[in-house]
Amino acid sequence: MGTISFTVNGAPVTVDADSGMPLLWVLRDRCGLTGTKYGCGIEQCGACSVLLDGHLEKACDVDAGEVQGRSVTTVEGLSPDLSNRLQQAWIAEQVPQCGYCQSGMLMAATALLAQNPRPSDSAIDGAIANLCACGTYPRVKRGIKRAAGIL
Amino acid sequence: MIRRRGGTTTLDALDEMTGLAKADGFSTKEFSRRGFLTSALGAGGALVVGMQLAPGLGLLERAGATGAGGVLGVYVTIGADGSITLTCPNAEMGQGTSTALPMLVAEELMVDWAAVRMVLGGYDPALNRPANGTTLGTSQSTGGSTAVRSYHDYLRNVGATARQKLIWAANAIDPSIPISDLKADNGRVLRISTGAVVGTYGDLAATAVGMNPTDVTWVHPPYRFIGQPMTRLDLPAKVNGSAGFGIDVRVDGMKYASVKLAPKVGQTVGSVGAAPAGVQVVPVPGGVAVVTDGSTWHAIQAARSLPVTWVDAPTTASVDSTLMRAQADQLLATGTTLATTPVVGDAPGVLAAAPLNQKFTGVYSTPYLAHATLEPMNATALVTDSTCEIWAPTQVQTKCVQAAAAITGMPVGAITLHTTYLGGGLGRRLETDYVKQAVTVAMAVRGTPVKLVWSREEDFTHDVYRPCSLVQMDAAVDGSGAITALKARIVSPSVRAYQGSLTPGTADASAADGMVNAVYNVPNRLVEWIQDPSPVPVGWWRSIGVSQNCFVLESFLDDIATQTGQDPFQLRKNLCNQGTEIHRRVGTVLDRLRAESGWDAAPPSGYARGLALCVGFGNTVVGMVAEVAGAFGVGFKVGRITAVIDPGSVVNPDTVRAQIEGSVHQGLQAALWQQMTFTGGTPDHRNFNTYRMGRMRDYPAAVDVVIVESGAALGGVGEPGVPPVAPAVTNAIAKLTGFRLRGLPIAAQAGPTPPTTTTTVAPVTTTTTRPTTTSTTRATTTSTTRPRTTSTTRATTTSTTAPLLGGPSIKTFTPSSGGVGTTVTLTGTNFTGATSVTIGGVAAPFTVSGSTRITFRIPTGSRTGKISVTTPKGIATTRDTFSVGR
Ligand code: FES
Ligand code: FES
Repeated sequence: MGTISFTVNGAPVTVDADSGMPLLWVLRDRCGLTGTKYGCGIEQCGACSVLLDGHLEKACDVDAGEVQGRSVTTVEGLSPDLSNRLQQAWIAEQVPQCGYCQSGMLMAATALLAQNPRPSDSAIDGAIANLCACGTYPRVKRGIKRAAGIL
Repeated sequence: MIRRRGGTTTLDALDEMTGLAKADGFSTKEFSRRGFLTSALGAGGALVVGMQLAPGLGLLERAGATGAGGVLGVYVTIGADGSITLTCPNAEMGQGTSTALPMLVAEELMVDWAAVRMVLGGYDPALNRPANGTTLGTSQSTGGSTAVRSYHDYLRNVGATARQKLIWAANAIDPSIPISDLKADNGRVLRISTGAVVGTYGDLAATAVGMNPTDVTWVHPPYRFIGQPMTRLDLPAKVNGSAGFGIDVRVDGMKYASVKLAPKVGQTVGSVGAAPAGVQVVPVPGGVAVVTDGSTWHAIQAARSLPVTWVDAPTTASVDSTLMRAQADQLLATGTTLATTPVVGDAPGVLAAAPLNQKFTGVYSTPYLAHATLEPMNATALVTDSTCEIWAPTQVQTKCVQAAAAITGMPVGAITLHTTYLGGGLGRRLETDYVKQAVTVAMAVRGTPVKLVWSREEDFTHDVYRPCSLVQMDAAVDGSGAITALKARIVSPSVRAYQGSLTPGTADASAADGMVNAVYNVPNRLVEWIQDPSPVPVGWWRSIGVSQNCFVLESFLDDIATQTGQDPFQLRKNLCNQGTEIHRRVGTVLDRLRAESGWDAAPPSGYARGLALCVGFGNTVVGMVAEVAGAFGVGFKVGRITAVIDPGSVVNPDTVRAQIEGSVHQGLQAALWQQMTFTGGTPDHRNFNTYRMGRMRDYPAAVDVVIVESGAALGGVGEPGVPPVAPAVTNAIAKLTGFRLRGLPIAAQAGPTPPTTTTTVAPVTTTTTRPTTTSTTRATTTSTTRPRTTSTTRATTTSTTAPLLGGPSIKTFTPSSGGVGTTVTLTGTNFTGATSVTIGGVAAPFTVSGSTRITFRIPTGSRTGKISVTTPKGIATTRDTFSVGR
């Protein structure tokens, strides 16, 4: 087993991990960052979405070896105190139900707003492909628009 | 993180986000956070005094260790600082009861909502679902949309009792103030006469613990919380990653386990090959578990690669969708029927006597469905020589503890169960299979905690599926079109039989739910049930039998309305004409729905509307109108859904709204695409790549929810919004296309075929009938013509196991960069019917040429990004980005 060093939510970490171990499990079972969720393991659900050097990635499909020296942002990195605008919008719109998909939703929304600060409904439809089994989609959409200041 | 100290454990509720801020204490090791409240009190040495709360409430009380604060029964903990912590006795799986139930206590307790914290209650008989306002029932469980209605009176009593204890405490501290001069107000007890604060709850709580008030009454409306859209208590933790789901549990020294379960239904383990070093194999019900160090990923990998041979059950090969459907057809024709109650009048007699042109018939089908909760099944357990501690996302705490007692041979008192958040329940977590496996593995590694997590593939292929059904409906109308007789003949597997609780020779009432107890007053009614002995594991799925029978009944009624030229609203109102409370409520909902949906105005161009009604789950009334566009061969799109719900009374209207929004999603994805099929014993879907789930782009552009509060008794809201979605959509499709769909999912049904192929004539009730395509028409026509196909076409049309087949894919795009206005050509497959093309998330105007080519222009405002094509069957995105220059 090798050692991987990278930055997560601004803090440098070094963990023991096979280079083929998916980032998802490195975060969850090595770093203790369990906000990033396992839903499918095959890039279908988006529950594991994180930012890698600012780009949206599905952590179940990123090998630990690829993360060496790079910077990862997880839902815990949005803010611990709910001060992030998306977190605030999520509370204001009462978005989550069971909440399991919401970490991934928030990361996908973060990436979307970074690319497109005032997304239209169809841009949101096109960009947010995460699964929510509870069906919070209309509220996720409102949450994104509220955070974007276009509600 | 759960840290074990001195042989005891405390569970971190993951309620505070401190981990990463302390990055140096983080690296690969666990980090410490505040303990789970109830456990922490026990482990931290808080006083536990065995005092009873009000008579009948049977709750244990504890005073705080410092002499300030206190635990006023299992539900209410008041900190010395005045913080109010309320226990949620139920599973929180998204439905919002961890807010609605505390609201009931808080209303009576007279506290500030902002001061309220919530903890999830673990197994505790004191948290059992109440039998009534003062008596506990026998089980702690969450299901049937019962939480708020069954806990309402009891929790109001809990809150009111706690409030009076605090008032009595103020009197005990200063006996000169009579109780009649004291009142509770926002976390303080005041003197009514002077307005002076006698004490805060934090000051009074320790004394309140010993009080036995005799003047407990509920507060009167107007309420401060009940009926208001209070903010959910569980959401802060769900937006910063700190909410603790079962899969997130970590215990010091924990090992990781996963399972390898029989790939085919009914199989058992033959032999297990050698496991690699460091991997322990433990037989568990259904297959084997592997235990590893390292991570859940290592456990899943080890389970996948473990060589296991399997032995078929005699029935394994029969678990095949084609064979099972043939068997169901046979049963429908000739199976032994059991009547369900109530039987009203003489439906067979009236049907036999009715003239042919006043009779209708139709055969409907619904498929097996997976639960597909987003959090896969998992549980964590630690078994020592004398104790068993479990952490589980479960809807059934009592059952889990009983199962653990049976497995470990320990008394129930030796078992502790912590309820985590549930990443969806949907009925799947009414089962205890995964908890039993975790306890079984923990027995094998006694003294070491172990977290057992299923892969998504095991989750899909070892579900207890929503049963399928095949239903023949028959009706007779009189000369005015009024329905005089209704008969349903239902063939379906029995959940109760699978669970071993069906008395042989009796009907499974759940299979007839929503049909036998339909609100409609038809003077002659009979529902027959024929058990389908399919060995497929079946279980409760959100809205259970109603999810099937509402589709059948509402489709059939709509068909009769169309063929007799009746207004579908009026036909339903005519069947609810008894003047009873529920009939009046149905009438109100239908009138409101007609107005809100704009039923009497023309729908948007290309759309048609369909209506459906569902009454159940404690007499909640839900009416829905769906606006649908599209065509067979291209697909259908639901643009807008209007839902009117009367749940009687409302505790949290925003939760009611959210539940209907979610129900629309659940009902719609099931209606459009979902079915679990089987081939040679093997479930055909293993993950979300082929079992299609609705995504953001599939969700209707508008879902309008109107809440009508009739003031009737509280009804459930978690489930009754699911059943009407499918029939509202198929009724709209019937109006849109003139073709009646009688099977689900919609994507698996053949559309109308050209008349030239309609060459075969066969009677409706033969076993070769293809029910999903049989037309419900007046009996005079169905008895002589069979409009569509022979049974030989069924294999091709109902074995559609790949709703994603036909989704688009992009092969190339040229050029690879360019400025605004550049024309880009995409090549690929299945572009037909494309509804949007985006670049970097910005929609572009486009032209589809055939199914393999799309051209579009880079729109103003676009940025460098990937290109996506959306069709009704899916979405394709390029791997590479198109660079937008200036
Ligand atoms: S777990 Fe990565 S996309 Fe589902
Ligand atoms: S909130 Fe439950 S899966 Fe999205």
